[in-house]
Amino acid sequence: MNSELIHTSLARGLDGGSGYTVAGRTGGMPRAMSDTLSRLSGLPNAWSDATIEEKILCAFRQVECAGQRLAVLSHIAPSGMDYTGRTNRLSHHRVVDARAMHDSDPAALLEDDSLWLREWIGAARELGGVELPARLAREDAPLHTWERVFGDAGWAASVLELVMKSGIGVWLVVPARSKKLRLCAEMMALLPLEQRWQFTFATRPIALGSDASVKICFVDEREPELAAQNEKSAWILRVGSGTLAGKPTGPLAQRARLGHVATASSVAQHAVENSSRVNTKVGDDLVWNAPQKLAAPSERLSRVTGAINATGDAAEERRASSSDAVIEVRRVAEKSASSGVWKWFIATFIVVGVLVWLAMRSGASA
Amino acid sequence: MAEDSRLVGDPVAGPAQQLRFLPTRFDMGGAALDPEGARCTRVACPRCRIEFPRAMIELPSTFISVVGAPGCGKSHLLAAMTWGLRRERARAGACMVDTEPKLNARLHRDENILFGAPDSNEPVRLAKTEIAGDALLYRTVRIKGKDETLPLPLIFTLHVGAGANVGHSRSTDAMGVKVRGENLDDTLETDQSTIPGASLVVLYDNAGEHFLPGADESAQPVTRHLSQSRAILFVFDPTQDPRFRAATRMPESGGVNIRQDLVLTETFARVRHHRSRHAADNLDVPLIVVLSKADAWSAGAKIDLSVEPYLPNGGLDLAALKKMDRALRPLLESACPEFMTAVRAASSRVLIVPCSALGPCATSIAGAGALQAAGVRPSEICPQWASVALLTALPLEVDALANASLWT
Repeated sequence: MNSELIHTSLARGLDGGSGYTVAGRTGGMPRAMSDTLSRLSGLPNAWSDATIEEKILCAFRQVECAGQRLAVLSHIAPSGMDYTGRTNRLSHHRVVDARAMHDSDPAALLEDDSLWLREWIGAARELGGVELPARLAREDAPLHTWERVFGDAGWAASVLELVMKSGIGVWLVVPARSKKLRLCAEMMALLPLEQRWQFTFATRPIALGSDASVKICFVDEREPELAAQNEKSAWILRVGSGTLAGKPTGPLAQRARLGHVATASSVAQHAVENSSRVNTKVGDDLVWNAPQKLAAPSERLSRVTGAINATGDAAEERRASSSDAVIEVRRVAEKSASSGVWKWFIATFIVVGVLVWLAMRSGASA
Repeated sequence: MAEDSRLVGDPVAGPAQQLRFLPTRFDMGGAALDPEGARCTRVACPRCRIEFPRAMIELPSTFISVVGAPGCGKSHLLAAMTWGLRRERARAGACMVDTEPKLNARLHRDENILFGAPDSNEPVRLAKTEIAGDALLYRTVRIKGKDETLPLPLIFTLHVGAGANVGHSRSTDAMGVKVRGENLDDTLETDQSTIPGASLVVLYDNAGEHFLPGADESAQPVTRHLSQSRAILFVFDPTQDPRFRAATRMPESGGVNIRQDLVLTETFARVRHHRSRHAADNLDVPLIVVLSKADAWSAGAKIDLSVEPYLPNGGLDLAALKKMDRALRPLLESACPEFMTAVRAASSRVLIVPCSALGPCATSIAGAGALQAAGVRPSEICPQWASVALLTALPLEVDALANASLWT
């Protein structure tokens, strides 16, 4: 079952004590898990004129807890004032189980605002267990956000390749006011579903090298922590310079630009073509196994839709909600668009038109 | 710490940090050479590999811990007291400068917020201190394969007597200190021949949550500095105690009630534990109880903070300090007897000092939704007695005052 924990500043927490404390957690959660999630709850200090949205830290991390590996989604956001009148933040963590992993990907779950609390009302209390709805990242092609922010959607492929090769993780510097979670979700759409839960990320800086660190941090260029780092460090990536100086090439970059389906061999080929530009310091430790089978977006979509249909009552409830209905309609529209129905329709129209014209012409001559 | 840009990654400090190594090669000037031959100037702790100033090897260091419950005003006090000691060296008879400015970045941030725009009328406030995740406050290192989150200290070089005029009765030089006591007969003359004119002061400021009972975790040993502390500044917030509020006729506006005696007891339990001291041992760690937010209660307590306890020629006026201590004890004894019991059980050397980190200028920021946040206008900030508590804890003063019957 999925578990969740809320950590914020209260006059009295669930375990006693005041200040930053556990405000709510799923009943029966082991103490070790509660302590581990509490330690992930900090929100880095932002630059002086950052907006509330820019201060939000969304992260997917894999942490060790009592010999178990936990997949943790975190949404940490400023949350008004606490009981002492000082600035507060609310950290909402969800530990994701295998079923949710099968139906969803982490970026899409984090993009769904309805899943994440921004304010805690009332006293500290235990929460009931909840099932996560199925959410998958939209497979936009081209990757519009990457194209708009960096001028070429193909950079998503180059960054993805570097990230998967990096043993320690990287910080990708993004321009001010970029939608970092959207960038992440679009990049994740280039990965097959089963690999998306290996792709840890954060939308604010997280120190590299600890248990709680991630493969990629999308770091706003105004972040104070960025200024404190050596700009020449190999793990700080800037599009258009250093290891990302060359224009992205290869099938994966092409897919990011045009939406062409890449095969496993094309992903590997992309890696080989760009390997000369990869910094050896970054890529020393981890070997990224290119996906053996990268299914077409439409195929993955139908697989997930099938899984949703098979989930019985829970699926019925989800379908009943209006937001899910909208998503369902969008999926059907995307499915029909990607399946080429429109092309067939136009081709048929032309053929029929030609036949009618020929029939009329032959009739007139007769 | 290696300087060559190719030597990145350390098994303890982290993959993004420069390599730490035990030097075996040195240049003619005595500086270590890293494996790539670059000249190294920075040093790090052999255990946690966190960078510290080289001056820590060269000068004596004094550790001072700032302790208190959540929301008691530790961060405001720290920013105000260090800002005061940076500016008022003549009056205080001592001054502090950053030993390595980049290591005190977090304090600079707070000082800039409060004192960086003295002409501004835009209300400001300090953010609540995070318990984890802020790179300016904490560093996570991997020791023996296990992650440990450690607090980053604030390190200053202390120059004693930097502003005093040589020849006056309260004068100091590089090799000695004179302190004037309660009356002329109490004047002490202490020859501190072993103490040089400069020393280091290492301050630790934690989130209040770290001092709550049960918060001392092996994965987050953020309060272990207590075992090394030469003095402990315990920030007691009278506005968080309902009986103190009543005794000083403060308005009841839904204030918070926190058992601060438990925080103090927990603190000294950790001191005993980490120093391996017997439960019956009398700890002689000087305990300075700082009664914060005095602007809110000083009128009700009938104390006057408008005159700072400094001598005309610089240095602390011990008579004024003693008088203030005597004025506040009966109030605490009657309003918070359990706290005073905990104080007596904690240490045999106690001094009570009031302070207001911001002065009588608290305003509220309108438009923050249903909740209104306390804020201050930088143009109105006027700390009162903010640096006094730290001055009493500084190395020379602690030793000198030990004989001056100030500590009771």
